[in-house]
Amino acid sequence: MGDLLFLIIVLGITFMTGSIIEKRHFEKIKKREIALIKKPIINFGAKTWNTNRKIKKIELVTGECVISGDYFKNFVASLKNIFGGRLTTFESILDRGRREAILRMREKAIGANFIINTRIESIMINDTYNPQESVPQCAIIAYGTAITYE
Amino acid sequence: MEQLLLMNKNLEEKYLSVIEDNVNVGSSNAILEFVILLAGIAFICFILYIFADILGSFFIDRMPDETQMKIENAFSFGIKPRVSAKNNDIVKLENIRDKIILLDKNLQIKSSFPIYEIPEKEINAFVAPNGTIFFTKGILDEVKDEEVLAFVLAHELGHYAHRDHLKGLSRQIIISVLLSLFSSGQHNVDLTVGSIADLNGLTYSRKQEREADRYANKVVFQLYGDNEGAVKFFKMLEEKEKAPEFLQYFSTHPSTVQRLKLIQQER
Repeated sequence: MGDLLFLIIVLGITFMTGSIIEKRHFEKIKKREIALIKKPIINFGAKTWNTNRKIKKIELVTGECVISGDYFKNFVASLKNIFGGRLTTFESILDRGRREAILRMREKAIGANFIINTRIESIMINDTYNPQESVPQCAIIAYGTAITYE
Repeated sequence: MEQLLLMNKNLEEKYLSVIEDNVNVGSSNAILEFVILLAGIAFICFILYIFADILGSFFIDRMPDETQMKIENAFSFGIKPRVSAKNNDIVKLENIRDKIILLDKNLQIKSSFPIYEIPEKEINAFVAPNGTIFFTKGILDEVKDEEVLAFVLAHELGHYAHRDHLKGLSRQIIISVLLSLFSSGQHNVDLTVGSIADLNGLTYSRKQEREADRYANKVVFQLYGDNEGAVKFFKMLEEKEKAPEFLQYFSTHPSTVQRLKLIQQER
């Protein structure tokens, strides 16, 4: 019975700490997004991009982020594996990861006018051959070309 | 130019609203989801348990005595008591045992039900799969009343007569196979399913104990005409233990209060 008690305590604690951390992270992300709303402008689509103005600097900017769910989230998700359905506990993690990665990229490109050709990718940094022992995580990299006018 | 500014302002507002309401994150309550998932798993386990119980008791109740003896001997290989010296208590118990065996056909011709004492302080007695009965030194020192000893002995013999050990074993085998298929080696699911299985196993064990108590009660009534001794014994146990009642849900035995109630009702 000690196992069960321990499990319940760990689940309760990780649920509380996890939701506090997530709430704070979202608040921080919102604040930074609002602060960065004007510059630099990101462009996701164009493969070719033309301008008449003189360009001072072209630079690769990247933003990376690795986020893991807490014990409670992973637990619920693995239970969900039985019945299927949306892994709602992981959705917020993916969202946090993506926004964080884009924010970091934009923060790196402060001063530039445009970031063109932005791409977002998710990567596995897990041990794919031993999924039982690897940490469930969400690694996201956002990259683009920052362009500064003269 | 003004139009452009207005458009920019509109765009800004749009961005702000996108930042504020996030469509990518589900709005469901994680705790509620967790509870629903647990309930679903518990339901599946419940069905599996009913299946295992029906299957197990169907075959074990129809099992011939020879097969039972064979299985029991295979499982109790190596059970050897550490103390072999016979004292007065053991002789007294053996006399009671012979009386009880005469009463029940299920117990005859199967095992010789040897009785041994083990040097432990706590008050306990148990029966091994091959019918060997062990009494602790604690219970033999504490209890001198013949009626009480008869009740305890009949309780253990009741477990044997009901084939509780075989039922428990078959249930565990069926369940562990089914559940390991079900959880497919995922650690977290294993943990959840294991906890549910433990709790359910305890419930089953308490049911068996109640049945054994009923059996022992019947035997004591047939031997002595009343169960005053057993009632006194449980009252003594009740005074000794200070554990709160709800803890019985995490225990293999029902609480002493409940066992006392059961015995008093059966008279």
